[in-house]
Amino acid sequence: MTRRILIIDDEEDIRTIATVALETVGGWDSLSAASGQEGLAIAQAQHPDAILLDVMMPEMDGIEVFQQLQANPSTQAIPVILLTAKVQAADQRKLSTLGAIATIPKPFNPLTLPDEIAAILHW
Amino acid sequence: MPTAFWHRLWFPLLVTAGGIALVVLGEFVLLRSLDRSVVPVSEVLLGAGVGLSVLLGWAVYLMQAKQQQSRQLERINQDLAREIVERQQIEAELRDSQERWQLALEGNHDGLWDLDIRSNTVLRSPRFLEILGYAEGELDNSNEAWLSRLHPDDRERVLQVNADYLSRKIPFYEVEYRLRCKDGSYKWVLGRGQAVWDAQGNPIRMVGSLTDISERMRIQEERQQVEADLRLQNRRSQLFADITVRIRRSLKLETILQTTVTEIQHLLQTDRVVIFQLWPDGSGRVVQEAVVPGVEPLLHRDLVDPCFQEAYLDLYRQGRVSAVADIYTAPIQACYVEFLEQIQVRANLVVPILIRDQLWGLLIAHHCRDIRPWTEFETELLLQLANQVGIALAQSQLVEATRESEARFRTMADSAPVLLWLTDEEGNCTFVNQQWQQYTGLSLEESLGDGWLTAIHPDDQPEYRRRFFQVFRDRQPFQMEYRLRRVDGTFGWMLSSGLPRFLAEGNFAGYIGSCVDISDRREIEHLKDEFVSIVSHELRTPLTSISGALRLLASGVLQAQPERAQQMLNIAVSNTDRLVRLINDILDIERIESGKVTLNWQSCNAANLMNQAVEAMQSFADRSEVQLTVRSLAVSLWADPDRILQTLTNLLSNAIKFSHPGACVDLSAAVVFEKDSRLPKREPMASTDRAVPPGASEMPAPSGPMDSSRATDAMAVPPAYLRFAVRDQGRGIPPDKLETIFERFQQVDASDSRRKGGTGLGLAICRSIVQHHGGHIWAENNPSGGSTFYFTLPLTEETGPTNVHAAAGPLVLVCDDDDSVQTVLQAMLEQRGYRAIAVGSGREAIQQAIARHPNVILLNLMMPEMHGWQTLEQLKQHPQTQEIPVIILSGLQPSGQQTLPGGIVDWLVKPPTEDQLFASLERALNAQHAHPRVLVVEDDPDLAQVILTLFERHGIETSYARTGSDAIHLTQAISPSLLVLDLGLPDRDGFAVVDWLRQQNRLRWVPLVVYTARDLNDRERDRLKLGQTLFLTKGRITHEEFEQRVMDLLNRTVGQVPLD
Repeated sequence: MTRRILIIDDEEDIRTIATVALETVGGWDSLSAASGQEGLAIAQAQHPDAILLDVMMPEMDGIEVFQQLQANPSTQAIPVILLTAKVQAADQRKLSTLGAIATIPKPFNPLTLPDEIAAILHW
Repeated sequence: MPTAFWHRLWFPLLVTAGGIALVVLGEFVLLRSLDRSVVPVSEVLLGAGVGLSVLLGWAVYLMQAKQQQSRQLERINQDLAREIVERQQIEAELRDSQERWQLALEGNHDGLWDLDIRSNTVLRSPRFLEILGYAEGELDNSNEAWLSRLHPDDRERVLQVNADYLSRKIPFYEVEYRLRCKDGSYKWVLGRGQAVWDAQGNPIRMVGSLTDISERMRIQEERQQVEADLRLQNRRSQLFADITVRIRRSLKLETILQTTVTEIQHLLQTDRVVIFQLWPDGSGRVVQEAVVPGVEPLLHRDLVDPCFQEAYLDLYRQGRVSAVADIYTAPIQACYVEFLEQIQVRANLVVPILIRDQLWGLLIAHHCRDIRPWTEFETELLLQLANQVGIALAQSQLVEATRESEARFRTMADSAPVLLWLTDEEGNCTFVNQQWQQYTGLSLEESLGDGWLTAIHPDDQPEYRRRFFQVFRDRQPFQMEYRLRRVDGTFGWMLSSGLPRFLAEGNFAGYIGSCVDISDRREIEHLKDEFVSIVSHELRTPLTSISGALRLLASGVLQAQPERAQQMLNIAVSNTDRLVRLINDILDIERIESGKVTLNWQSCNAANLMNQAVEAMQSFADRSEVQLTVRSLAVSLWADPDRILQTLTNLLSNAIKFSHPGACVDLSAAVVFEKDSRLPKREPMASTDRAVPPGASEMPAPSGPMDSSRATDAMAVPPAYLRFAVRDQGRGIPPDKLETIFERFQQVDASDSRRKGGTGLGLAICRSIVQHHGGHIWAENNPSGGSTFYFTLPLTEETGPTNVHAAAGPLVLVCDDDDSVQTVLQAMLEQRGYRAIAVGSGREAIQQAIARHPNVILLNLMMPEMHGWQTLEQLKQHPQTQEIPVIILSGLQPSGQQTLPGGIVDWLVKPPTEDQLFASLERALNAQHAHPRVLVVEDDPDLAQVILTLFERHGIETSYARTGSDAIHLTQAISPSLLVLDLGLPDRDGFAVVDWLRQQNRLRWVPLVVYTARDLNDRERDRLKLGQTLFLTKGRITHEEFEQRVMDLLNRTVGQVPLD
């Protein structure tokens, strides 16, 4: 069965690139959401196999989205990989305490992104 | 020995001698047993035994008489024999005792006397007389001779003893007294005697001895003297010790010095004791004194010893002591004697007072009424006390210095801009400065001990205590940060630093430390971290898209999906643009806020700026189907026109971006009287519109150029502000965002804004620019929907210094007989950077044209005396003026459709608009450039190729120079219509090229585009100006913008360039 990955990022261009990476390079299916709210709704409705979650988003940021995913029994089992452009040590430390499975820094390489995800999730 | 004397004394003496002989041994034993060994034994025996032996002598005599009367015949024989034996024995004993007596008399040298009380005559032995220095017969036998020689002080006592003895009140007559000798002196003697009483108990006779005890008394007196001396010395030592103790005990100098002089005065029993403080010149002042009544006090007097010399000071410095027993006999100078006489001194003793080997003054004892030989002891004592005074003074100086040092420390501590504290060696707080007390609201008392710890934030206390006591144990310096409670109950972050303190001898004395409020610094650090974090995010986001898109393209995975591939290319291009904008904006705001970019202040017209901004945004508005309207206000501003233009275009661009198609964006301006119209009005007038003060918003725009001073004069309430307003009909701004949108990266909707090409820094840059101009920027939501962005710029009455650009601009000669036209034109020209000469007649015009050789002449036609046409004719005939382009500026229309008359380049009808005037001037200035040629000076061949292509596309001839030298070489052969100049060139840089061009009359007005990667300051810009000069920064403007601005310049200066 084809894997299905949800991308949550407010940047349309990045969603597009990630979609191409997952579908064309990785051969998986992808879902995309332009905001945290939308992402939560899709996650609950579609139960993707994994979520690529951007941290810095307006209104509801990735951290809040993650916490809501964790708080919801129907989504808490979905592995979440954070995408972040915040590379400062303090930011990294903060993220590491969240409990997400992994963090992939931006800019990411779309050609290797599927391999990275597969390695992290032991697919 | 005289026979008569022995005849009378024989019997009693014999008996007495016998008695003495009997008792001698017994007495000897008795005396020995009493152990009165202090008196020589022989003397005691002889002296004390005389009375007893006399008594016993008489007893033996009576017993013998009785024996002779009771002798009986019948015992004659045996008695005779026994008597013979006894008599023989007695005779032998008597013989024996007589010899002893004789020996005693001869041996002890006592005088003997025998007084017959009834006749009051005395027999005196030769030794008696000898003791008093008399020869035999020189003293009569009367008792008076003895009585009269008694020492008057002893007489009564001796007679009393005598009387007491004779009346048997005392058992013995024995008395020591002084008798006058023949030479008149008195001699101490010991008189002893024994009386004989008759049957009625009356004394009839008295016999005794006289012993010379003068030697003993002398020794005794000497001993007493020594004892007295010892006592005195003891007393002095005691006093010295007392004074020393007092000196050491008291730290009050006044007390010490007063004690010293008083004690010395008592001790020496002298008339005056002073402490004299010496000045370096040898004069000085009496600072302390003890003086007896009747002697002139010298206290607080300045005394100048006329013969006191430097040499004396040296001597005193070496510890010299001066003792003068009598000023009249001492080997001292006459002037010194005179000086001492003036202060009643007869004798003096002077010792130096030294403080740590430095001569401080003198301790002086004055004896006034008599001479005074000073003893060694006194001198020594005075020296010692002077030493003590020196020590006391040194201590006092030390105390004073300590007190001063303490006071200095407090002053410093209290004036220091930081909080300071001190602890003792146990870690207890012993001091906090005023700043501490003011900051925390804790008084000094409340802070002492452990009190100060209560001001530390409860969360920080355990860690603070732990670290503080740890470093305290190790005596290590420390630095730590904690929160300290302010007086208002809030907490401030403190950087606390502490250092161990050590006393001079190396003992640990506690800690000294400071606290600096670093709340601001921490806040800034926090903001900086946040900013870096955001910038990092903002930069990485487009980079993610660019690199992702390009990687996908380059990998070939999209070969089968050409639409996807094109999409990736578009993503890469648009994100590259976004990245460039972002970098430019970040650099821009950093440069403005750090003050690295100096504003290019100049006089500029608000209407022009508004029109330029609208013009620049017109195409964007057209594309967005937004209607752009402008209501410009011709008010003169002192500002950086480029920056104001940047602000206006930014606000317009935002307004257009967030407007729906068909909406309207309006730019307007008004003079207001508050920097921020939301502030309370200064004027007492009632306000009807919060945003627009009454009378200000609808101020009629002046028809012509108008400077700010005139505008403010009209309103009469300076200073005023020009307030720009950009009003849109968009979605408005959430109320909570009205303030924050001017912060960096605080867009209402970041992703939305990015889609529209925003960087999140535009408004922050606008705010920075406006603030640097002394203005204010804010946003309001319109009641009818949409929002309005306002910003104000101050309108100052003072006009700025003459614009360098203007001073260097083309020279225009204005010839018009109407003064007001001259004034208006001159103002307009200078406003735009031209230089202007105004004249009122044709004659003057010709004179000035010859003298000043203007670049253009503006000529009126209808003038008295010499008509415009006549003037033109003469100008065209004169070789020095015939080449100068002339523009007719007249109330008349050119006649019919005919071409312009010869010799003029343009015809303007009064009143011309500004645009008409300057377009005409620029054409006139470049009339000779029929075939424009652009010289591009750029060392980067790729960039040069791009620029050259740009011009060639417009059919413009180009020349290219790679170096400064090439450029200079080329300009000698060709006259470029425009120069595009890079600054960083391999050999001579752009500055050198401009310097050279400025020196060439033919080239000094060439329009110039400085195209460099460098940011230029005002001074550099001034150095680089030729004709009309544009400064464009590489990477800061897009290729399209570059093309537009350069072509605008070329069109303005050269005339319409045909476009393909």
